[in-house]
This record gives sequence, structure tokens and C-alpha cells, in this order.
Amino acid sequence: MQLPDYNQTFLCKFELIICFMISLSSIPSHSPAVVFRRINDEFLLIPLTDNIADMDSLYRLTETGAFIWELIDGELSVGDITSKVVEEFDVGRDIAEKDALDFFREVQEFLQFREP
Amino acid sequence: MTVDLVIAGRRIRLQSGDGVPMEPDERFRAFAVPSDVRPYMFIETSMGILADADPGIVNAAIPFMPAETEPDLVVDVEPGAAEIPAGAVKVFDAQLMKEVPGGVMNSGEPFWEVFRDDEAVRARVFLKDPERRALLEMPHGKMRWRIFAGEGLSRQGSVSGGTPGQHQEKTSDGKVRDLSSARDSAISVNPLPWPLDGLLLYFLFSRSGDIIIHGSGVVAGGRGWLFTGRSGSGKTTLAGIFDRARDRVIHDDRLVLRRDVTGWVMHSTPVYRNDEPRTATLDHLWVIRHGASNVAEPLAGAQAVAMILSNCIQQNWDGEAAARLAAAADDIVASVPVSRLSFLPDGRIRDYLLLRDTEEKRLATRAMSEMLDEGHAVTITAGGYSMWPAIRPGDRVRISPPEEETTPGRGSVVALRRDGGFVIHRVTDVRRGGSADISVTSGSEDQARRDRPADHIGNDGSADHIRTRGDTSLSADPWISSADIAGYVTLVTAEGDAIPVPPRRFPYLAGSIAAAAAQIWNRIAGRK
Repeated sequence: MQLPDYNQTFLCKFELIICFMISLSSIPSHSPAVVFRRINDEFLLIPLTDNIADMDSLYRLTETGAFIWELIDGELSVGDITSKVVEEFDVGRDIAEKDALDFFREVQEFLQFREP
Repeated sequence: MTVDLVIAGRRIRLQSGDGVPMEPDERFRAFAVPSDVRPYMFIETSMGILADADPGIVNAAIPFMPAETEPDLVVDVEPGAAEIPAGAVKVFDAQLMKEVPGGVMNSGEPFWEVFRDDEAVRARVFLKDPERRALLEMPHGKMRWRIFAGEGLSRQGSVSGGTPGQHQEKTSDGKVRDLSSARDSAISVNPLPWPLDGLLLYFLFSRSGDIIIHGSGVVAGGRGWLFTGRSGSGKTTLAGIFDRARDRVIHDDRLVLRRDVTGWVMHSTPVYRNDEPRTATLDHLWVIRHGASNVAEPLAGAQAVAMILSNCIQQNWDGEAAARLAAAADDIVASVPVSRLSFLPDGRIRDYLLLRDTEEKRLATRAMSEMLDEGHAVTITAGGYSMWPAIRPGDRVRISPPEEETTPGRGSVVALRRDGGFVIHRVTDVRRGGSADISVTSGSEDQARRDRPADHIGNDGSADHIRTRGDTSLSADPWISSADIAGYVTLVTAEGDAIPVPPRRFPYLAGSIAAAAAQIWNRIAGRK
């Protein structure tokens, strides 16, 4: 029986996670490879490849996620956005920071980051 | 003697020497197949937002995936005992867990052990009634293994074979968990006494990059759902709820997850006396726990992978196996929605999940409509059998937005909005706008109405009209205006190859026969 070589793909994925770090000073902007849609009070990210929408990989945002998504403008840093989350949702800075970083990591394939 | 078992689509051939009859436990009965027969796996698949509302077509099951006649694994069964060679290193062991009220308790008794040396991995299990040790020997890199049943003594002498049923255990819901190593006849060998069978399955599926997971798999509303969670999280409770609602339960304890061309598929495994092979596509994986209300939240990324892994059957001593398992869990997370689900153990959870699924479908349908309206092409996984075999469940199709002022030609495949989703059907007739050739043909009144487009889409004679039909549908769809087309199917990706949609291959009747077979199958197998 031929066994697939999973080791390799697994390691590649791991390296990617390790190499890619998002900090509070990182400045996110929307990737052109995704569109954001508000449908029936739900917020969706729809990935695009060569302008073809991938309907099997829809990503549903929570209310907080959508709030953050709409703040991303290529100017505000992760830290700036966190401050706005603290104002808007009445949460502690620690929690907001952790949530924001978690969010950015989760949707990082739909974002581009630059350092100031 | 040869006994072939097909479990989760993999054929295991047990063979013993002349004059050594084998008698597997009762739980394997429905999994045994003659060695020259190719059994068909009936895969229940769902449709997603590509709905498929043809009356003659049942989307639940169709016999289209034959299992191999060549065994994936050959196991030579020896009745006698064997020892672990000196120098082999013990890499894993497990003690017997006993069920006590409110959970399980470690009894401290040895249950099974795994050893490894340069030649092979060997698993040894400690069996009772009579007390003996069975051994499974798996030479490295070979798919020809050996089982030493450890029955050498008992075969010769006065054996109290035990009365059948003596070693079965009733679970809380009254099912009989088949733990028997009892035999009707003292001279036949039990090739796969519990728990040796579980170890064999683990090593077999682990080597193939498949997953064995603790969970309950059900098919409800045409969707294959797998509930997984730690012991006591409610897997059996949930399966009971769905079973009482007359949904199909694939299995409520242990399932094999395998990736095939249609995506991830879940299979039953032999645990209970009356188990049988059952298979369904995996459309949503729920990591469950009891809660104060019914709440679902999506899980993604590393968190989802970790939660799946924690419910898989695994032995952490083998790094390669662990890497394969992690890669498989990674792939599930990438291709199947995974959610955390807190639930109340009453019937409402079923309605909650069905409603939620409907809403998700509606949302995805809206999103797809919007993308097409804005001029984007979309790709989506097809479901249903109405275009089989040109488009099979699990194929990815590309749908391009309709171009202005064009009418599709006969034979092209289009997406239409219908039944709250989309259907993909083939254009069979085109009538140009303004043509005088819109006449009522002979036949029933109903037929006449279908043949006269103007009745259905108003009296706007200027637009082009088309009629569509699924390749396996018994009847054609009503006439519609070509302006109602949501998009054109321009590309089908199956097993990695992207091709234009193939032409219809079989007469319509062939599809209907397949649908009838599926219907009959459902009636027989839909209920326990």
C-alpha cells in the first residue's frame, strides 16, 4: 500500500505559523483576495482566487469581528483598533487585546500586514 | 479458511491454515463478505446549497462506490500463542478500564501492550475466559500481518467455551456491546477477540492516514453530522435523540473518517452485536458538551484541530502516525465546518441544528446570488445526483455569471435559482424570442402546459426561453426565460482535473433506475 507523505505538508504548515507573528504595532489592510458582505445581519468574508469566489470557504464573522474588519483601513495599527474595541464593547484592555490578536491570526489569510 | 471483512471500505482478509476454522464474533457478521464479491458502499451525501428537487431522484444514497476485491490487509491467523521477542521495547500499554456509575475507573489490570523492535510492531492483549494472551504482529512496511490467537491450550483440552452472550455488556441505553470472546465451538478460533480488533483497526487506518474517532454520526435533513466529545459529553444521548426522530444513525460510539473523492466520509465500525456497515458524508463536525442552552459557535484553525485530535483514537509513541493524524485533522478543518456545541439533552437540539443549517444555507445562497449578480464567477462543491455522472457529488463546479443578451445552447449546463438554493441542470430546448413556433403539442393538458412557455413566464414573447432537465431526471423542468439563468457551469473539477462539463452519457432511464435502487436501499437500511 502506498502511504502518502503527510510529514512534509504538516511541517510546512507549522513553519508558516511560527514565522508569521502579528504584534500590536502591525498595521493590517484588507487583502484584495477577499470580499466582505453583510447579508441578513450576518457578516461574511468570501475568498476570491483570480476573481472567482470560493463558496465552499465562506467565513462568518461575529459582531466584534465585523466591527474590527470595518476599522481596518491600512492606517490603524492592531493596537489602535484594540482601543476602539475597548471603547465600543466595554471590555478590559487585556481581554480586548487577546481577542483582537486572536481575530487577526484567525483571518490573517484575508489580510496583509506591514510594520510602521 | 478465509474470512473477508470490509470495514470502512477497507478489505481485511483473515486466513487460517487447513483444518483451522475461524469464527469471528457476532459484531462482524454484517461486515463479512465473500472474497470474490465487490460490495458497494452506500454513501449518503447531502446537497448543500446546490439543491436537487427532482421528484424521481433521492439524494440520500446511491450505490456507486464499489470496495476493492484486492485486500488492503492480509492477516494470517494462527491458533497458538507467541511470545514477544527478547529485545523488543514496550512503547505503549493500557490498563483495563471498568465502567462504574458516573464514569470509568482504572482497574489496574493489564489490558493490552504495544512492543516494537527492528522487525515489527507487536500488540499483545490479555484475554479472559479462558485466560490467554493474543498477539498481533505487524512487520514494518508490510500489509501482511499475523495474529496468534493464543488458544493453543484450549483447542486441545476440555474447554468451557463459555455460553454465548456471557461476556456481553449492556450499555445504559440497552444496546449490547459485543465483548464476547465466547465461542459456540471449542475448536474454532476467534481471530479478532475484543480488544484485539480495535487495535488492528487502529493500526490499519492509522497507516492509511484515516482517523478513528469517538463520536456519534447521524444523517438528519440530508446532512451528515458527527458529534464528538469526551466520555460523558452526550454522544450516545444525541444519537438516541436522532434515532427516535427516525433519522439514520451511522454509529454512536466509534467511527472511521476517510477522505475519498467526494470529501470526508464517516463509516461505522463493528462494536455492537447488530452493527452493520453504514456510511455518510461528513458535512459538519460538532465538538459537544452538555450546556445550559443550545449554543453553537464556529471553531477554526489550531483550536479546531486540537479539539478533533483530543477525541481521536491515537497512540502517541509513533511520531509518523501522529503526524499523519495531525495532517488529516488539519484537512478536516480545512474542508468541513467544525463547531463547538453546547446542548440540552432533549429533542429541541435537533430542531435547533436543522434550523441553523437552513439559515446557513439561505445565507450562502444569498451570498452566491450576490457574487454572480456582481459579475464574479464562483466555485462550489456539487451535491445530489441529478447530473450524475457528468457532475458527481463532491465535484467542484465553476459557475460563471450569465453574459448579457446571450442564450445558452442546447447541451450547456446552467445554474437556476430554485427551492431556496440552486439547481444545476442541462439545457434541453431553446426557443428564440419572437418565434412563432410556440405551439401546443399533443398530449395531456399538463404536458401541453409545460410545452407552452408563454403560460409560465407571462406573455412576453420577445425573450428567449429555455427548458432544462437533470441528466438523470425523469421529467423536464418548466420553461423559463433565459433571463432567469443564474449562471453557467463552465468547469468541473473532479479528482484534481478541471474539465468542461461532459455531455450526458446515459439515457434518462438509467438515472431513474439508480434512483430507484437508492430509494429501496433507504427503505431497507433507513431503520434499524
